[in-house]
Amino acid sequence: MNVLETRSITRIYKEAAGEIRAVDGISLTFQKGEFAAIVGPSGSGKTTLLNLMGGLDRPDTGSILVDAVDICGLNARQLVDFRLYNIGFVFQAYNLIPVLTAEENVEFIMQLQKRPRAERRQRTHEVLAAVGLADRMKSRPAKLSGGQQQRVAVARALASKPKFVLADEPTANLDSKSAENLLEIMEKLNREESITFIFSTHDPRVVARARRVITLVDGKVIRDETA
Amino acid sequence: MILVIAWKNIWRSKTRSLVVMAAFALGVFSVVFGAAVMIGLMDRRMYNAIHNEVSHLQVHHPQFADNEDIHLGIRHSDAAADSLARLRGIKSVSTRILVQGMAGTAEKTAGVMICGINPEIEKHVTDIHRVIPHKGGDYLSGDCRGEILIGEKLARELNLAYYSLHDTLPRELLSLAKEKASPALDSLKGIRFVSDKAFEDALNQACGSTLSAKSLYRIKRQSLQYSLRKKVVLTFQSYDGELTGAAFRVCGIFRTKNAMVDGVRVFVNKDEIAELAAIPKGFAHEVAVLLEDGTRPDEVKAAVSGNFPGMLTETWKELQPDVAYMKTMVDNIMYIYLSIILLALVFGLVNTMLMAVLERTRELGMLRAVGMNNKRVFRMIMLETVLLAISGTVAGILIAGILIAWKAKTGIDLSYLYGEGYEAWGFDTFLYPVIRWKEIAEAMMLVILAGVLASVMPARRALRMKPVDALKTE
Ligand SMILES: Nc1ncnc2c1ncn2[C@@H]1O[C@H](COP(=O)(O)OP(=O)(O)OP(=O)(O)O)[C@@H](O)[C@H]1O
Ligand SMILES: [Mg+2]
Repeated sequence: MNVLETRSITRIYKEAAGEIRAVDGISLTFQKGEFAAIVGPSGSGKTTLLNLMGGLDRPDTGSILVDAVDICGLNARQLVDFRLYNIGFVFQAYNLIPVLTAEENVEFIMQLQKRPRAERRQRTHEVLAAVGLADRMKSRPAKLSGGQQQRVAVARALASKPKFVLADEPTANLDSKSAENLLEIMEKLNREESITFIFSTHDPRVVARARRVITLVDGKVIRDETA
Repeated sequence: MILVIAWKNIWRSKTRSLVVMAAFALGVFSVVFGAAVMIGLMDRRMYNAIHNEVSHLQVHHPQFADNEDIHLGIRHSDAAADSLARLRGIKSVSTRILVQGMAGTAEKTAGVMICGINPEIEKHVTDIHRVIPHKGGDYLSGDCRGEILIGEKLARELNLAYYSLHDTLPRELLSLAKEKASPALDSLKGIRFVSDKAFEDALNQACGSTLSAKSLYRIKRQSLQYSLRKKVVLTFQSYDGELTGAAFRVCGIFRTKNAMVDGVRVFVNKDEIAELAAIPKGFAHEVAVLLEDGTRPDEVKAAVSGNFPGMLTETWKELQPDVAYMKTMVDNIMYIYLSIILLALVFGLVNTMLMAVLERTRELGMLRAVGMNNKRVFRMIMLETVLLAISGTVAGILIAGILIAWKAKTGIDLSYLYGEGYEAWGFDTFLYPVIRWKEIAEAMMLVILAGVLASVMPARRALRMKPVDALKTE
């Protein structure tokens, strides 16, 4: 069954110079357990597409189905809750609350979900261990390296038990070793726990690890290859 | 959790937050302490008004207040007073004769209100017997005739009180004098100074410097001497219109610290003045009533009035409308002060929170993107704002509370700040600040309300940008 499906979605920005079709009639389907990279030159529409799929933005035309539910029909308030319970996010930077420790950052998302305390504690340990940060739970983001911060972000995204995780250039701010390491962890989570990852990237080494590569140019999918 | 985050967020900009907290602490401190002083001053004024002056209720002839005519009084007052005293809630009742007259010594005269009282009964109604200063003689004795109790201010006007230094000089004066054992100071011993100015000049000169108002006030109070047992002649018109007079001996001096009482009232035995002024038996000009519980005199008023048909019964609020008015003012003064100060503080608070929100644009965008809804974001900003205000407020209340608790024990002496000025207005120069926890709690509520209002703009600002745009800002 498709965990995510877009049906010819379009997102148009109206600028003084004319309209920009940032996403131009894209139809894609993702199955549970996919590990997909969205690639393409700068300005090709990767971020716009991920935002649409994550319910952070609305398409001008077309529809987006998550587990067969059309999220375009949800109002703003429903959409926030939808994101909270169904989608994990990893951004390029500023993923964490600086005043909270790694542990508290991960736990926070589950508090928003109103999960019981015992479950939160257990899950926090579990996901932080999964990203290899069991020993840094009590550290605040400022005390962690960029790579470690992104791993906490991945842990946070997993903690809420989402249907899939969207990551917009998660490695863009990392050195190549940390980037490699982050990808390894994501890969392992995908393989062992069949977490669905959809991420955008510029980095050819990251692309090389993806099992499916979707290439965008000017808001259109020009290639969609599965290895 | 949101509360914890809000609290932790406050400490991201330590200095900025501390400045805001300090502003709240200072503002609230000054309001709470200022109000406590005002309430203390007012409570004292009220206590004095009731216990030294008007009691809780008074009965007069309806026209007596117009010109205090000796013929306008209450007949059979003693019988009525007796039955009144048996009513529930009535503590004690005093019937008085009031006669306008002149008081004269060999040197001076002054207009007075002669107040004929039964000394023993009066003790249960007013505190006059308690406000006789050290070396000020005695209260009226019940049976002895020819005694008069006069106020300190009148005593000074009649030259029955004067300043004089004894062999042991006041310690304060010694510590202030340039040379110890100075001959200039010694030469002052035993000299009587009748006027304030002459005494102050002499003190300044002997010390070789200008003494502070505070020191002068203290030394003057310590050096004031009373001429007791001196003769005072009272002259007045009797009930049948004849000008009469009689000589009395000063048995004591009282000091209510209200110049309007101390300078005007003289107390003599009621039976004696009744006889001298040929006042009919049972006739009185004033009935003063003290209640068990003075908080609601209006409720007893009708019952009192019923005992005196055709007479005018008034509560202390009606008799001293200025005191009653000031009391309402003072009761509300904290709210007025606090509102004004909060208004100013709220501007600072809004500004601080706007800055805090602006700095966190991306973080707020992230939080909203991952699933924090508007209500929760709003609540977080609101809590942060309120906490910022409340923590400063609590500090301010704490400091004020400690200071008030301390000063409530030791008292605050305002005498050196225009001591005579306060007394002229009937205010005591020594006051005990009073803290009212109900008002403190209400002040807290007001601060919380101000915090909530102050948070609206920053919270709306936090929600104005769409999460995607907030995340994109560089
Ligand atoms: N808020 C916006 N208003 C107007 N135009 C926008 C807006 N956001 C994106 N665009 C335009 O839409 C197009 C796609 O942008 P998008 O950010 O999706 O590209 P991208 O593939 O993520 O690029 P990059 O690799 O640089 O991150 C670009 O031409 C961009 O200028
Ligand atoms: Mg992008």
